[in-house]
Amino acid sequence: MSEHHNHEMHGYYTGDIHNQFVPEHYDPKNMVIFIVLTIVKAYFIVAFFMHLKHEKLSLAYCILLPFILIVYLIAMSLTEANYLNLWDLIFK
Amino acid sequence: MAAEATLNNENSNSKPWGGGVSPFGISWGKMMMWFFLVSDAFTFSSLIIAYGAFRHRFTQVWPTANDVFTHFPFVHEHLPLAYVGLMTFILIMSSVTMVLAVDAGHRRDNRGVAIWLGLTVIGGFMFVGSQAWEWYNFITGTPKGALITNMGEVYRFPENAPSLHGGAHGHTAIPDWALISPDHKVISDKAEVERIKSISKPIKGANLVNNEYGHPLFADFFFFITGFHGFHVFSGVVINLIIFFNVLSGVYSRRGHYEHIEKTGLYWHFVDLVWVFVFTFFYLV
Repeated sequence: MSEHHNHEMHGYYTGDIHNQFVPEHYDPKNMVIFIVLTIVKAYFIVAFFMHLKHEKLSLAYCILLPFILIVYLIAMSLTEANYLNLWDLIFK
Repeated sequence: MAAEATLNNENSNSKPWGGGVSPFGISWGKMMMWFFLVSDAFTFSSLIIAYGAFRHRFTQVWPTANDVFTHFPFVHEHLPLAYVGLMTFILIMSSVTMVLAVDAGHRRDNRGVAIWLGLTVIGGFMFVGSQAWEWYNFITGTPKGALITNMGEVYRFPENAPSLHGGAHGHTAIPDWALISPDHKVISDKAEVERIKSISKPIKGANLVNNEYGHPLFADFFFFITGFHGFHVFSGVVINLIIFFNVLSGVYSRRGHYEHIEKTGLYWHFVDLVWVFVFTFFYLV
């Protein structure tokens, strides 16, 4: 539109293939750190506050193994959402 | 029949799944609380994953939490995420007091249980109150509001986008009359600003239909996720309160054990656990 309309000042491009605009606050480096810290925090809450570390292993497996499905749901949903987003960018 | 039953009972002494003993080594009440929490965790996971999916779907126009949750009581400057950080701290501290209540229960210390459980209830009420204040600010919106075009795109004013001023690229000079586009770009071309104003009407605050901070789905997920979590905290506080009065009237000291505190404690820690994820995925990243 104009030379003032310079979005490179407020974000960066993730790469040529996707050519996605990502606001600078969504720094992937920070995201990884925050998510890893969240999982560490969750481990301490479940293992010690909720005492699961000191319960029988069979109970721990019954509680934790179903969450493999959640990992699958995350991978599936986000892949699909990214694909729809990319579709918009190409054909808009 | 009688011989068979005897046989089974003899087996049960050696095999955990032979009957007669708890195979998991815990009471049925605690086991069912665990399984309830697993199912509840699936519900919360679905909500947060749905949030993630729509956020990835609309990455470019998704609001930045740093620009939305900037209020702090008695402070007029923008303090991004400070208040929600305080709320998180309060909830984690009430989880710690719950651990201490369970510990006092193991020692059969009725007075200790009452004190720590009482503090847990207070922490829970503080969190729910903070949540209400957060909702109030989100629904009321900023003093100046924003502009919504006849296409439904939300253009914000620079004063309501503090993260653009102090970002990693050190950009500071955004003129007052500029607009921030839905995809976080600065519109400082005067003709373009006038054109957007001519096709826009003012918008203030957020609800399930409109959201002055950007995409309406952000507001919808905010209300659903924090609302569902807040409802869990509220029911946790009510359950803790009932247990608290039971402790005061000596129900558990007469019963001889404080397992009820452990079961309620599991639920309360779970509420804390969910908040850790909500805090990360809704506010931080």
